[in-house]
Amino acid sequence: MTQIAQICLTGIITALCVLILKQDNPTFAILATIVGSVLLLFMIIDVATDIFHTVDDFLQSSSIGGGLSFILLKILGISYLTDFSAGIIEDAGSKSLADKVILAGKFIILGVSIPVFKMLIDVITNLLQ
Amino acid sequence: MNIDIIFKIAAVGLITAIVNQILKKAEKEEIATLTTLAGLVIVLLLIVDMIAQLFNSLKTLFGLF
Repeated sequence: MTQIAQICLTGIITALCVLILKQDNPTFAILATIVGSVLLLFMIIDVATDIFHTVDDFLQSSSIGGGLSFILLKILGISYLTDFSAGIIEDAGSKSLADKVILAGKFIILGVSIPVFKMLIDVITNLLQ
Repeated sequence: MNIDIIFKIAAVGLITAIVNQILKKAEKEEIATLTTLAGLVIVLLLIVDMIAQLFNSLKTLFGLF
């Protein structure tokens, strides 16, 4: 229970510091947002590692899930990274740049998930024969 | 990871802003921009190793690169 309170309070305090800094010099406001989001991430990393280990065990035990868990984790990581930086870029005021980062992230995710499509097609062709 | 880093950055930001105002009143515009730059560099140095640590933990967590 205390962890969620800690996370919420850090978010509120960072937002207040950003507001204070925004009037005098906006550059430091952006830096404060970056540090705040990094802090929030560090708080959830240990919870995330436990969740990923359990998900990994489920997928390993299932028959087709062998390669899937690695790809799933990769897609999750890429989507989180792009979302993290796109948010900061948007805060900094350049919305179009954030959209381009998101577009690039989508393409990379598509690239990573090509083997899954291949696996799907193999399964379908086996069914049809 | 504690929260005093954010307060440090807020403090540096406020102090640079105040020094800027003072230097502007004393008609020393060029020194004012230099102080802002100095404050920015200080804060960036503070942030860079945090972000490096973040990307390392993300790399190990998601097995990305």
